[in-house]
Amino acid sequence: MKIEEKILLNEIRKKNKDVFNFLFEQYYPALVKFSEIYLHHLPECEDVVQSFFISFWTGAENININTSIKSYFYTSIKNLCLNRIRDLKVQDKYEILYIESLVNTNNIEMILDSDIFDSINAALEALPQQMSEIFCQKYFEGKHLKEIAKELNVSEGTVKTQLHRARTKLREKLRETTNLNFIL
Amino acid sequence: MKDFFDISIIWKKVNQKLSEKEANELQDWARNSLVRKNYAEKTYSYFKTGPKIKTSDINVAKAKRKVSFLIFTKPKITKAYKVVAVFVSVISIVFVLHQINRDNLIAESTVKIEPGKAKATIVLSDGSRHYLDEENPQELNEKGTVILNSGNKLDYKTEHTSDLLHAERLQSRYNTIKIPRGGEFFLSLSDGTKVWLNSETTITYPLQFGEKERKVQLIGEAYFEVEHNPDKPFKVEIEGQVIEVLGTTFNVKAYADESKTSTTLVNGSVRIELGEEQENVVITPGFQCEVNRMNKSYTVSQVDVRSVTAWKEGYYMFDDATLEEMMLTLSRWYDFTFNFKNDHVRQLRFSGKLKRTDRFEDILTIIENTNEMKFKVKEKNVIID
Repeated sequence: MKIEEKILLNEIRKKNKDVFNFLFEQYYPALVKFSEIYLHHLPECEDVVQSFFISFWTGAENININTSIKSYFYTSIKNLCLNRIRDLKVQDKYEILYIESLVNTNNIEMILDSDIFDSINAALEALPQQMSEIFCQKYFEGKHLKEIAKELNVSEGTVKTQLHRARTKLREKLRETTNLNFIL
Repeated sequence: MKDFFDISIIWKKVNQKLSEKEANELQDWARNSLVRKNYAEKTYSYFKTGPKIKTSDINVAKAKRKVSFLIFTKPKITKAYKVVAVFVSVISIVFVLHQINRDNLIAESTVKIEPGKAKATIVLSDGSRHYLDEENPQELNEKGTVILNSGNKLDYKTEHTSDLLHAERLQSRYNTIKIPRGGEFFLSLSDGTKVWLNSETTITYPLQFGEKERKVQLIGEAYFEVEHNPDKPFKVEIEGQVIEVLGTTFNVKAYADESKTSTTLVNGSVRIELGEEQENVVITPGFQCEVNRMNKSYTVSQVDVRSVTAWKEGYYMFDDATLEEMMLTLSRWYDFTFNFKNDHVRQLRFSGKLKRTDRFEDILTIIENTNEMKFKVKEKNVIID
Protein backbone atom coordinates (compact mmCIF):
# COMPACT_ATOMS: atom_id res chain seq x y z
CA MET A 1 0.00 0.00 0.00
CA LYS A 2 1.26 3.44 -0.90
CA ILE A 3 2.17 5.85 1.87
CA GLU A 4 -0.69 8.20 1.10
CA GLU A 5 -3.15 5.35 1.24
CA LYS A 6 -1.76 4.33 4.62
CA ILE A 7 -2.34 7.86 5.82
CA LEU A 8 -5.82 7.72 4.42
CA LEU A 9 -6.66 4.53 6.26
CA ASN A 10 -5.13 5.96 9.39
CA GLU A 11 -7.29 9.02 9.08
CA ILE A 12 -10.34 6.80 8.82
CA ARG A 13 -9.20 5.01 11.97
CA LYS A 14 -8.84 8.37 13.65
CA LYS A 15 -12.44 9.04 12.61
CA ASN A 16 -11.65 11.84 10.19
CA LYS A 17 -15.06 12.55 8.70
CA ASP A 18 -13.71 14.64 5.85
CA VAL A 19 -11.58 11.81 4.55
CA PHE A 20 -14.52 9.45 4.88
CA ASN A 21 -16.77 11.83 2.96
CA PHE A 22 -14.12 12.22 0.31
CA LEU A 23 -13.78 8.47 -0.21
CA PHE A 24 -17.52 8.04 -0.18
CA GLU A 25 -18.04 10.65 -2.86
CA GLN A 26 -15.18 9.29 -4.94
CA TYR A 27 -16.22 5.64 -4.90
CA TYR A 28 -19.90 5.38 -4.12
CA PRO A 29 -21.33 5.70 -7.65
CA ALA A 30 -18.65 3.50 -9.19
CA LEU A 31 -19.16 0.76 -6.60
CA VAL A 32 -22.92 0.85 -6.99
CA LYS A 33 -22.53 0.41 -10.73
CA PHE A 34 -19.97 -2.29 -10.17
CA SER A 35 -22.36 -4.30 -8.00
CA GLU A 36 -25.12 -4.30 -10.62
CA ILE A 37 -23.81 -7.43 -12.28
CA TYR A 38 -24.26 -9.39 -9.07
CA LEU A 39 -27.56 -7.98 -7.85
CA HIS A 40 -29.36 -6.44 -10.86
CA HIS A 41 -31.40 -4.18 -8.63
CA LEU A 42 -30.44 -0.58 -7.86
CA PRO A 43 -31.80 -0.33 -4.29
CA GLU A 44 -30.06 -3.58 -3.43
CA CYS A 45 -26.81 -2.32 -4.96
CA GLU A 46 -26.99 0.92 -3.02
CA ASP A 47 -27.72 -0.98 0.15
CA VAL A 48 -24.68 -3.21 -0.25
CA VAL A 49 -22.36 -0.29 -0.87
CA GLN A 50 -23.78 1.74 2.00
CA SER A 51 -23.45 -1.17 4.41
CA PHE A 52 -19.92 -1.63 3.23
CA PHE A 53 -19.00 2.00 3.93
CA ILE A 54 -20.58 1.78 7.37
CA SER A 55 -18.51 -1.24 8.31
CA PHE A 56 -15.45 0.35 6.75
CA TRP A 57 -15.89 3.29 9.11
CA THR A 58 -16.79 1.37 12.24
CA GLY A 59 -14.37 -1.48 11.76
CA ALA A 60 -11.43 0.45 10.36
CA GLU A 61 -9.17 -0.64 13.22
CA ASN A 62 -9.28 -4.23 12.08
CA ILE A 63 -8.85 -3.66 8.37
CA ASN A 64 -5.65 -4.77 6.77
CA ILE A 65 -5.06 -3.68 3.21
CA ASN A 66 -2.21 -5.17 1.24
CA THR A 67 -3.00 -3.82 -2.18
CA SER A 68 -4.70 -0.47 -2.67
CA ILE A 69 -7.80 1.07 -1.19
CA LYS A 70 -9.45 0.92 -4.59
CA SER A 71 -8.94 -2.77 -5.08
CA TYR A 72 -9.84 -3.40 -1.45
CA PHE A 73 -13.15 -1.64 -2.06
CA TYR A 74 -13.91 -3.63 -5.21
CA THR A 75 -12.97 -6.97 -3.68
CA SER A 76 -15.03 -6.29 -0.58
CA ILE A 77 -18.09 -5.33 -2.60
CA LYS A 78 -17.64 -8.42 -4.74
CA ASN A 79 -17.63 -10.67 -1.69
CA LEU A 80 -20.56 -8.92 -0.06
CA CYS A 81 -22.59 -9.29 -3.25
CA LEU A 82 -21.76 -12.95 -3.61
CA ASN A 83 -22.85 -13.41 -0.01
CA ARG A 84 -26.18 -11.84 -0.79
CA ILE A 85 -26.89 -14.23 -3.65
CA ARG A 86 -25.71 -17.27 -1.74
CA ASP A 87 -29.23 -18.66 -1.56
CA LEU A 88 -29.38 -18.86 -5.35
CA LYS A 89 -26.54 -21.37 -5.19
CA VAL A 90 -24.45 -19.63 -7.79
CA GLN A 91 -20.71 -19.30 -7.86
CA ASP A 92 -18.39 -17.19 -9.94
CA LYS A 93 -15.80 -19.85 -10.55
CA TYR A 94 -13.77 -17.92 -13.11
CA GLU A 95 -14.51 -14.46 -11.70
CA ILE A 96 -16.27 -13.71 -14.94
CA LEU A 97 -18.77 -11.42 -13.20
CA TYR A 98 -15.91 -9.56 -11.58
CA ILE A 99 -14.02 -8.85 -14.79
CA GLU A 100 -17.11 -8.18 -16.88
CA SER A 101 -18.30 -5.62 -14.40
CA LEU A 102 -14.93 -3.93 -13.96
CA VAL A 103 -14.45 -3.64 -17.68
CA ASN A 104 -17.98 -2.39 -18.20
CA THR A 105 -18.00 0.23 -15.48
CA ASN A 106 -14.45 1.56 -15.60
CA ASN A 107 -12.59 2.96 -18.53
CA ILE A 108 -9.62 0.94 -19.62
CA GLU A 109 -7.10 3.59 -18.59
CA MET A 110 -8.28 3.61 -15.01
CA ILE A 111 -8.02 -0.15 -14.85
CA LEU A 112 -4.54 -0.18 -16.29
CA ASP A 113 -3.23 2.29 -13.80
CA SER A 114 -4.23 0.48 -10.63
CA ASP A 115 -3.94 -2.72 -8.67
CA ILE A 116 -7.18 -3.69 -10.30
CA PHE A 117 -5.07 -4.42 -13.34
CA ASP A 118 -3.28 -7.27 -11.61
CA SER A 119 -6.47 -8.87 -10.41
CA ILE A 120 -8.20 -8.64 -13.80
CA ASN A 121 -5.14 -9.93 -15.52
CA ALA A 122 -4.89 -12.85 -13.14
CA ALA A 123 -8.57 -13.61 -13.67
CA LEU A 124 -8.20 -13.43 -17.44
CA GLU A 125 -5.29 -15.83 -17.32
CA ALA A 126 -7.29 -18.24 -15.20
CA LEU A 127 -10.09 -18.34 -17.76
CA PRO A 128 -10.20 -21.28 -20.13
CA GLN A 129 -8.24 -20.21 -23.20
CA GLN A 130 -11.19 -19.90 -25.52
CA MET A 131 -13.14 -17.78 -23.08
CA SER A 132 -10.17 -15.53 -22.50
CA GLU A 133 -9.75 -14.97 -26.22
CA ILE A 134 -13.41 -14.15 -26.72
CA PHE A 135 -13.27 -11.79 -23.83
CA CYS A 136 -10.24 -9.96 -25.17
CA GLN A 137 -11.77 -9.75 -28.61
CA LYS A 138 -14.94 -8.33 -27.22
CA TYR A 139 -13.32 -5.66 -25.12
CA PHE A 140 -9.74 -5.13 -26.14
CA GLU A 141 -9.75 -5.56 -29.92
CA GLY A 142 -8.25 -8.98 -29.50
CA LYS A 143 -5.27 -7.73 -27.57
CA HIS A 144 -4.34 -8.90 -24.16
CA LEU A 145 -4.42 -6.55 -21.24
CA LYS A 146 -0.64 -6.62 -20.88
CA GLU A 147 -0.08 -5.49 -24.44
CA ILE A 148 -2.53 -2.64 -24.00
CA ALA A 149 -0.84 -1.63 -20.79
CA LYS A 150 2.49 -1.58 -22.50
CA GLU A 151 1.17 0.58 -25.31
CA LEU A 152 -0.56 3.00 -23.02
CA ASN A 153 2.36 3.33 -20.67
CA VAL A 154 4.52 4.61 -23.45
CA SER A 155 2.14 7.35 -24.38
CA GLU A 156 1.45 9.95 -21.74
CA GLY A 157 -2.25 10.10 -22.15
CA THR A 158 -5.12 11.53 -20.27
CA VAL A 159 -4.74 8.76 -17.73
CA LYS A 160 -1.93 10.41 -15.91
CA THR A 161 -3.52 13.84 -15.76
CA GLN A 162 -6.76 12.29 -14.58
CA LEU A 163 -5.04 10.36 -11.85
CA HIS A 164 -2.90 13.31 -10.99
CA ARG A 165 -6.00 15.41 -10.54
CA ALA A 166 -7.55 12.87 -8.23
CA ARG A 167 -4.38 12.67 -6.18
CA THR A 168 -4.06 16.43 -5.92
CA LYS A 169 -7.63 16.66 -4.72
CA LEU A 170 -6.92 14.01 -2.16
CA ARG A 171 -3.84 15.76 -0.94
CA GLU A 172 -5.72 19.01 -0.56
CA LYS A 173 -8.39 17.24 1.44
CA LEU A 174 -5.79 15.69 3.72
CA ARG A 175 -3.98 18.94 4.15
CA GLU A 176 -7.19 20.63 5.19
CA THR A 177 -7.99 18.06 7.78
CA THR A 178 -4.71 16.77 9.12
CA ASN A 179 -1.27 17.94 10.13
CA LEU A 180 0.48 15.65 7.73
CA ASN A 181 1.63 18.19 5.16
CA PHE A 182 5.22 17.17 5.45
CA ILE A 183 4.62 13.60 4.35
CA LEU A 184 2.61 14.39 1.27
CA MET B 1 -19.28 -25.91 -4.05
CA LYS B 2 -20.30 -29.02 -5.88
CA ASP B 3 -23.96 -28.31 -6.28
CA PHE B 4 -23.33 -24.65 -6.99
CA PHE B 5 -24.07 -23.40 -10.46
CA ASP B 6 -21.22 -21.69 -12.27
CA ILE B 7 -22.41 -18.37 -13.62
CA SER B 8 -19.88 -18.43 -16.47
CA ILE B 9 -22.18 -20.90 -18.19
CA ILE B 10 -24.59 -18.03 -18.84
CA TRP B 11 -21.67 -15.99 -20.16
CA LYS B 12 -20.83 -18.82 -22.54
CA LYS B 13 -24.42 -18.98 -23.66
CA VAL B 14 -24.11 -15.33 -24.73
CA ASN B 15 -20.62 -15.41 -26.18
CA GLN B 16 -19.95 -18.98 -27.24
CA LYS B 17 -21.97 -22.10 -27.58
CA LEU B 18 -23.03 -24.28 -24.71
CA SER B 19 -22.14 -27.91 -24.59
CA GLU B 20 -25.03 -30.25 -23.89
CA LYS B 21 -23.74 -30.85 -20.40
CA GLU B 22 -23.61 -27.13 -19.65
CA ALA B 23 -27.09 -26.54 -21.08
CA ASN B 24 -28.39 -29.23 -18.78
CA GLU B 25 -26.66 -27.72 -15.81
CA LEU B 26 -28.32 -24.39 -16.48
CA GLN B 27 -31.70 -26.00 -16.86
CA ASP B 28 -31.33 -28.05 -13.73
CA TRP B 29 -30.33 -25.04 -11.72
CA ALA B 30 -33.14 -22.79 -12.89
CA ARG B 31 -35.83 -25.46 -12.88
CA ASN B 32 -38.59 -24.99 -10.32
CA SER B 33 -37.30 -21.66 -9.14
CA LEU B 34 -38.69 -18.40 -10.42
CA VAL B 35 -36.04 -16.44 -8.57
CA ARG B 36 -33.24 -18.37 -10.22
CA LYS B 37 -34.89 -18.17 -13.62
CA ASN B 38 -35.26 -14.45 -13.23
CA TYR B 39 -31.66 -14.12 -12.09
CA ALA B 40 -30.45 -16.14 -15.08
CA GLU B 41 -32.37 -13.88 -17.45
CA LYS B 42 -31.00 -10.72 -15.91
CA THR B 43 -27.47 -12.03 -16.01
CA TYR B 44 -27.94 -13.07 -19.62
CA SER B 45 -29.19 -9.62 -20.54
CA TYR B 46 -26.27 -7.97 -18.72
CA PHE B 47 -23.72 -10.04 -20.65
CA LYS B 48 -25.57 -9.28 -23.84
CA THR B 49 -26.26 -5.55 -23.52
CA GLY B 50 -24.16 -4.30 -20.62
CA PRO B 51 -25.06 -2.41 -17.45
CA LYS B 52 -28.36 -0.56 -17.06
CA ILE B 53 -27.64 1.60 -14.00
CA LYS B 54 -26.47 5.04 -15.03
CA THR B 55 -24.50 7.44 -12.86
CA SER B 56 -27.43 9.83 -12.99
CA ASP B 57 -29.64 7.18 -11.33
CA ILE B 58 -27.48 7.27 -8.24
CA ASN B 59 -28.16 9.93 -5.66
CA VAL B 60 -24.83 10.24 -3.87
CA ALA B 61 -25.90 13.12 -1.63
CA LYS B 62 -28.90 11.23 -0.36
CA ALA B 63 -26.84 8.11 0.27
CA LYS B 64 -24.24 10.15 2.09
CA ARG B 65 -26.85 11.73 4.31
CA LYS B 66 -28.21 8.33 5.20
CA VAL B 67 -24.81 6.84 5.94
CA SER B 68 -23.63 9.91 7.86
CA PHE B 69 -26.74 9.82 9.96
CA LEU B 70 -26.12 6.21 10.84
CA ILE B 71 -22.44 6.34 11.60
CA PHE B 72 -21.82 9.84 12.85
CA THR B 73 -24.71 9.93 15.28
CA LYS B 74 -25.38 6.31 16.16
CA PRO B 75 -22.28 5.46 18.20
CA LYS B 76 -22.99 8.33 20.57
CA ILE B 77 -26.50 7.14 21.20
CA THR B 78 -25.41 3.59 21.84
CA LYS B 79 -22.59 4.77 24.05
CA ALA B 80 -24.88 6.94 26.15
CA TYR B 81 -27.41 4.16 26.18
CA LYS B 82 -24.84 1.71 27.47
CA VAL B 83 -23.74 4.07 30.20
CA VAL B 84 -27.31 4.55 31.30
CA ALA B 85 -27.93 0.83 31.15
CA VAL B 86 -24.97 0.14 33.40
CA PHE B 87 -26.05 2.79 35.85
CA VAL B 88 -29.59 1.56 35.97
CA SER B 89 -28.97 -2.13 36.19
CA VAL B 90 -25.82 -2.44 38.24
CA ILE B 91 -25.45 0.58 40.40
CA SER B 92 -28.76 2.33 40.18
CA ILE B 93 -28.45 3.72 43.68
CA VAL B 94 -25.18 5.39 42.82
CA PHE B 95 -26.82 6.86 39.77
CA VAL B 96 -29.59 8.38 41.86
CA LEU B 97 -27.05 9.75 44.32
CA HIS B 98 -25.07 11.17 41.47
CA GLN B 99 -28.18 12.92 40.21
CA ILE B 100 -28.92 14.38 43.61
CA ASN B 101 -25.37 15.64 43.95
CA ARG B 102 -25.62 17.29 40.60
CA ASP B 103 -28.84 19.00 41.52
CA ASN B 104 -27.26 20.25 44.71
CA LEU B 105 -24.33 21.51 42.77
CA ILE B 106 -26.48 23.55 40.48
CA ALA B 107 -28.53 24.87 43.37
CA GLU B 108 -25.35 25.83 45.24
CA SER B 109 -24.10 28.26 42.66
CA THR B 110 -26.00 31.47 43.06
CA VAL B 111 -24.10 33.48 40.45
CA LYS B 112 -25.34 32.41 37.06
CA ILE B 113 -23.11 32.29 34.04
CA GLU B 114 -24.95 33.94 31.19
CA PRO B 115 -24.25 34.81 27.59
CA GLY B 116 -22.77 38.22 26.91
CA LYS B 117 -24.62 41.21 25.52
CA ALA B 118 -24.00 44.65 24.10
CA LYS B 119 -22.15 46.70 26.69
CA ALA B 120 -19.16 48.99 26.75
CA THR B 121 -17.54 51.93 28.47
CA ILE B 122 -16.44 54.94 26.51
CA VAL B 123 -13.68 57.22 27.76
CA LEU B 124 -13.90 60.66 26.21
CA SER B 125 -10.94 62.90 25.60
CA ASP B 126 -11.55 64.78 28.84
CA GLY B 127 -11.23 61.51 30.75
CA SER B 128 -14.94 61.21 31.55
CA ARG B 129 -16.39 57.72 31.42
CA HIS B 130 -19.80 56.74 30.19
CA TYR B 131 -21.34 53.35 30.53
CA LEU B 132 -23.12 52.17 27.42
CA ASP B 133 -25.67 49.40 27.26
CA GLU B 134 -29.05 48.69 25.74
CA GLU B 135 -30.93 50.23 28.63
CA ASN B 136 -29.11 53.54 28.30
CA PRO B 137 -29.34 55.02 24.83
CA GLN B 138 -27.96 58.52 24.87
CA GLU B 139 -26.34 61.20 22.83
CA LEU B 140 -22.86 62.30 23.75
CA ASN B 141 -21.35 65.48 22.52
CA GLU B 142 -17.69 66.17 22.31
CA LYS B 143 -16.06 69.23 20.77
CA GLY B 144 -18.85 69.58 18.26
CA THR B 145 -18.85 65.88 17.38
CA VAL B 146 -22.10 64.13 18.02
CA ILE B 147 -21.71 60.58 19.25
CA LEU B 148 -24.98 58.71 18.88
CA ASN B 149 -25.30 55.84 21.28
CA SER B 150 -28.24 53.61 20.52
CA GLY B 151 -27.41 51.06 23.19
CA ASN B 152 -25.51 48.54 21.11
CA LYS B 153 -23.85 50.85 18.68
CA LEU B 154 -21.92 54.10 18.58
CA ASP B 155 -22.13 56.37 15.59
CA TYR B 156 -19.76 59.28 14.99
CA LYS B 157 -21.23 62.16 13.07
CA THR B 158 -18.58 64.73 12.42
CA GLU B 159 -19.44 67.87 10.58
CA HIS B 160 -16.75 68.45 8.04
CA THR B 161 -15.08 71.63 9.11
CA SER B 162 -13.11 74.10 7.06
CA ASP B 163 -11.71 75.53 10.24
CA LEU B 164 -8.23 74.02 10.20
CA LEU B 165 -7.59 74.79 13.82
CA HIS B 166 -10.76 73.06 14.84
CA ALA B 167 -9.94 70.06 12.63
CA GLU B 168 -6.52 69.79 14.20
CA ARG B 169 -8.08 69.84 17.61
CA LEU B 170 -10.39 67.00 16.67
CA GLN B 171 -7.50 64.97 15.34
CA SER B 172 -5.62 65.22 18.57
CA ARG B 173 -8.57 64.17 20.70
CA TYR B 174 -8.92 60.51 21.31
CA ASN B 175 -11.79 58.36 22.47
CA THR B 176 -11.41 54.89 23.87
CA ILE B 177 -14.04 52.18 24.00
CA LYS B 178 -13.61 49.28 26.38
CA ILE B 179 -15.70 46.18 25.97
CA PRO B 180 -15.74 44.10 29.17
CA ARG B 181 -15.79 40.30 29.31
CA GLY B 182 -19.26 39.20 28.31
CA GLY B 183 -19.76 42.24 26.12
CA GLU B 184 -19.78 43.26 22.48
CA PHE B 185 -20.34 46.52 20.69
CA PHE B 186 -20.57 48.05 17.27
CA LEU B 187 -18.84 51.21 16.25
CA SER B 188 -19.19 53.39 13.20
CA LEU B 189 -16.21 55.73 12.88
CA SER B 190 -16.22 59.26 11.48
CA ASP B 191 -14.97 58.07 8.07
CA GLY B 192 -17.74 55.50 7.74
CA THR B 193 -15.59 52.51 8.70
CA LYS B 194 -17.55 49.91 10.62
CA VAL B 195 -16.02 48.04 13.53
CA TRP B 196 -17.51 45.10 15.39
CA LEU B 197 -15.90 44.73 18.79
CA ASN B 198 -15.75 41.42 20.63
CA SER B 199 -15.54 40.81 24.38
CA GLU B 200 -12.57 42.07 26.39
CA THR B 201 -11.48 44.51 23.72
CA THR B 202 -10.19 48.06 23.80
CA ILE B 203 -9.99 50.38 20.83
CA THR B 204 -8.65 53.95 20.71
CA TYR B 205 -9.24 56.34 17.82
CA PRO B 206 -9.21 60.10 17.17
CA LEU B 207 -12.43 62.08 16.92
CA GLN B 208 -11.44 62.86 13.39
CA PHE B 209 -8.76 61.17 11.30
CA GLY B 210 -5.71 63.17 10.15
CA GLU B 211 -4.85 64.16 6.59
CA LYS B 212 -2.48 61.34 5.77
CA GLU B 213 -3.79 58.28 7.50
CA ARG B 214 -6.50 56.78 9.64
CA LYS B 215 -5.05 55.06 12.66
CA VAL B 216 -6.65 53.15 15.52
CA GLN B 217 -5.16 51.14 18.37
CA LEU B 218 -6.53 47.78 19.35
CA ILE B 219 -6.23 45.18 22.07
CA GLY B 220 -8.57 42.22 21.78
CA GLU B 221 -10.67 41.16 18.81
CA ALA B 222 -12.41 43.26 16.18
CA TYR B 223 -13.86 42.87 12.72
CA PHE B 224 -13.30 45.84 10.42
CA GLU B 225 -15.13 46.94 7.30
CA VAL B 226 -12.94 49.80 6.18
CA GLU B 227 -14.39 52.57 4.05
CA HIS B 228 -12.37 52.78 0.86
CA ASN B 229 -10.10 55.81 0.68
CA PRO B 230 -6.87 55.38 -1.33
CA ASP B 231 -5.50 58.72 -0.11
CA LYS B 232 -5.75 57.80 3.54
CA PRO B 233 -4.66 54.28 4.40
CA PHE B 234 -6.34 52.76 7.41
CA LYS B 235 -4.00 51.43 10.05
CA VAL B 236 -4.64 49.19 13.02
CA GLU B 237 -1.94 49.22 15.63
CA ILE B 238 -1.67 46.16 17.79
CA GLU B 239 1.20 45.49 20.13
CA GLY B 240 4.35 45.66 18.03
CA GLN B 241 2.55 45.47 14.69
CA VAL B 242 0.84 47.82 12.30
CA ILE B 243 -1.78 46.41 9.98
CA GLU B 244 -2.19 48.67 6.98
CA VAL B 245 -5.09 48.47 4.59
CA LEU B 246 -6.94 50.35 1.92
CA GLY B 247 -10.62 49.50 1.57
CA THR B 248 -10.96 46.06 3.02
CA THR B 249 -12.70 43.68 5.39
CA PHE B 250 -10.73 41.75 7.96
CA ASN B 251 -10.66 40.32 11.45
CA VAL B 252 -7.93 41.05 13.98
CA LYS B 253 -7.44 39.01 17.11
CA ALA B 254 -4.82 40.32 19.49
CA TYR B 255 -5.49 39.40 23.09
CA ALA B 256 -2.88 40.26 25.65
CA ASP B 257 -3.09 36.82 27.27
CA GLU B 258 -2.63 34.81 24.09
CA SER B 259 0.78 33.99 22.69
CA LYS B 260 -0.24 34.70 19.10
CA THR B 261 -2.03 37.44 17.27
CA SER B 262 -3.92 36.73 14.08
CA THR B 263 -5.13 38.80 11.17
CA THR B 264 -7.62 37.18 8.80
CA LEU B 265 -8.55 38.78 5.53
CA VAL B 266 -12.08 38.52 4.14
CA ASN B 267 -11.56 40.70 1.11
CA GLY B 268 -9.25 43.41 -0.22
CA SER B 269 -5.62 43.34 0.77
CA VAL B 270 -3.68 43.90 3.92
CA ARG B 271 -0.06 44.57 4.77
CA ILE B 272 1.32 43.69 8.16
CA GLU B 273 4.38 45.56 9.37
CA LEU B 274 6.15 43.51 11.99
CA GLY B 275 8.70 46.14 12.98
CA GLU B 276 11.99 47.56 11.77
CA GLU B 277 14.01 44.41 11.40
CA GLN B 278 11.32 42.28 9.85
CA GLU B 279 9.98 42.21 6.34
CA ASN B 280 6.33 43.10 5.82
CA VAL B 281 3.75 40.39 5.24
CA VAL B 282 1.06 40.80 2.63
CA ILE B 283 -1.94 38.51 2.75
CA THR B 284 -4.77 37.88 0.32
CA PRO B 285 -8.42 37.02 1.04
CA GLY B 286 -9.04 33.69 2.77
CA PHE B 287 -5.63 33.76 4.42
CA GLN B 288 -4.63 34.30 7.98
CA CYS B 289 -1.36 35.62 9.34
CA GLU B 290 -0.44 34.48 12.80
CA VAL B 291 2.35 36.26 14.62
CA ASN B 292 4.13 34.94 17.65
CA ARG B 293 4.27 37.75 20.21
CA MET B 294 7.60 36.68 21.65
CA ASN B 295 9.86 36.34 18.64
CA LYS B 296 7.74 37.92 15.92
CA SER B 297 7.93 34.80 13.77
CA TYR B 298 4.86 34.45 11.63
CA THR B 299 2.93 31.88 9.59
CA VAL B 300 0.44 32.50 6.81
CA SER B 301 -2.17 29.86 6.15
CA GLN B 302 -5.46 29.40 4.38
CA VAL B 303 -8.41 29.33 6.79
CA ASP B 304 -12.16 29.03 6.77
CA VAL B 305 -13.00 32.70 7.03
CA ARG B 306 -16.54 31.96 8.16
CA SER B 307 -15.35 30.23 11.29
CA VAL B 308 -13.02 33.12 12.15
CA THR B 309 -15.70 35.78 11.74
CA ALA B 310 -18.65 33.72 13.01
CA TRP B 311 -18.66 35.57 16.35
CA LYS B 312 -19.81 38.71 14.56
CA GLU B 313 -22.80 36.84 13.13
CA GLY B 314 -23.80 35.65 16.58
CA TYR B 315 -22.32 32.21 16.77
CA TYR B 316 -19.10 30.34 17.26
CA MET B 317 -17.66 27.84 14.85
CA PHE B 318 -14.97 25.57 16.15
CA ASP B 319 -13.03 23.59 13.64
CA ASP B 320 -10.90 20.96 15.32
CA ALA B 321 -10.20 23.33 18.22
CA THR B 322 -8.71 22.06 21.47
CA LEU B 323 -10.92 22.19 24.52
CA GLU B 324 -8.55 24.75 25.98
CA GLU B 325 -8.89 27.09 22.99
CA MET B 326 -12.63 26.63 23.11
CA MET B 327 -12.89 27.40 26.81
CA LEU B 328 -10.73 30.49 26.37
CA THR B 329 -13.01 31.81 23.65
CA LEU B 330 -16.19 30.97 25.53
CA SER B 331 -14.87 32.40 28.81
CA ARG B 332 -14.63 35.85 27.27
CA TRP B 333 -18.21 35.83 26.10
CA TYR B 334 -19.81 34.09 29.07
CA ASP B 335 -17.41 35.77 31.47
CA PHE B 336 -16.15 32.90 33.57
CA THR B 337 -12.82 31.50 34.65
CA PHE B 338 -11.76 27.89 34.25
CA ASN B 339 -9.21 25.36 35.48
CA PHE B 340 -8.19 22.06 34.03
CA LYS B 341 -7.67 19.33 36.59
CA ASN B 342 -6.24 17.03 34.00
CA ASP B 343 -3.83 17.90 31.26
CA HIS B 344 -4.88 15.45 28.59
CA VAL B 345 -8.39 16.90 28.56
CA ARG B 346 -6.95 20.26 27.47
CA GLN B 347 -5.95 18.78 24.15
CA LEU B 348 -9.23 17.07 23.27
CA ARG B 349 -10.42 18.38 19.95
CA PHE B 350 -13.87 19.52 18.97
CA SER B 351 -15.64 20.79 15.90
CA GLY B 352 -19.02 22.37 15.85
CA LYS B 353 -21.22 25.38 15.87
CA LEU B 354 -22.66 27.12 18.92
CA LYS B 355 -25.01 30.07 19.10
CA ARG B 356 -23.78 32.96 21.20
CA THR B 357 -27.22 33.11 22.77
CA ASP B 358 -27.09 29.44 23.90
CA ARG B 359 -27.44 28.93 27.62
CA PHE B 360 -24.10 28.16 29.19
CA GLU B 361 -25.40 25.01 30.93
CA ASP B 362 -26.58 23.69 27.58
CA ILE B 363 -23.18 24.16 26.01
CA LEU B 364 -21.51 22.34 28.90
CA THR B 365 -24.03 19.51 28.54
CA ILE B 366 -23.28 19.18 24.84
CA ILE B 367 -19.56 18.94 25.50
CA GLU B 368 -20.08 16.61 28.46
CA ASN B 369 -22.09 14.25 26.26
CA THR B 370 -18.87 13.09 24.69
CA ASN B 371 -18.22 11.36 28.01
CA GLU B 372 -14.64 12.54 27.97
CA MET B 373 -14.83 14.98 30.86
CA LYS B 374 -16.97 16.43 33.60
CA PHE B 375 -17.60 20.06 34.39
CA LYS B 376 -18.06 21.44 37.88
CA VAL B 377 -19.41 24.95 38.09
CA LYS B 378 -18.82 26.96 41.22
CA GLU B 379 -19.84 30.58 41.13
CA LYS B 380 -18.13 31.86 37.98
CA ASN B 381 -15.43 29.24 37.90
CA VAL B 382 -15.58 26.08 35.85
CA ILE B 383 -13.47 23.09 36.83
CA ILE B 384 -12.83 20.63 34.03
CA ASP B 385 -12.04 17.10 35.07
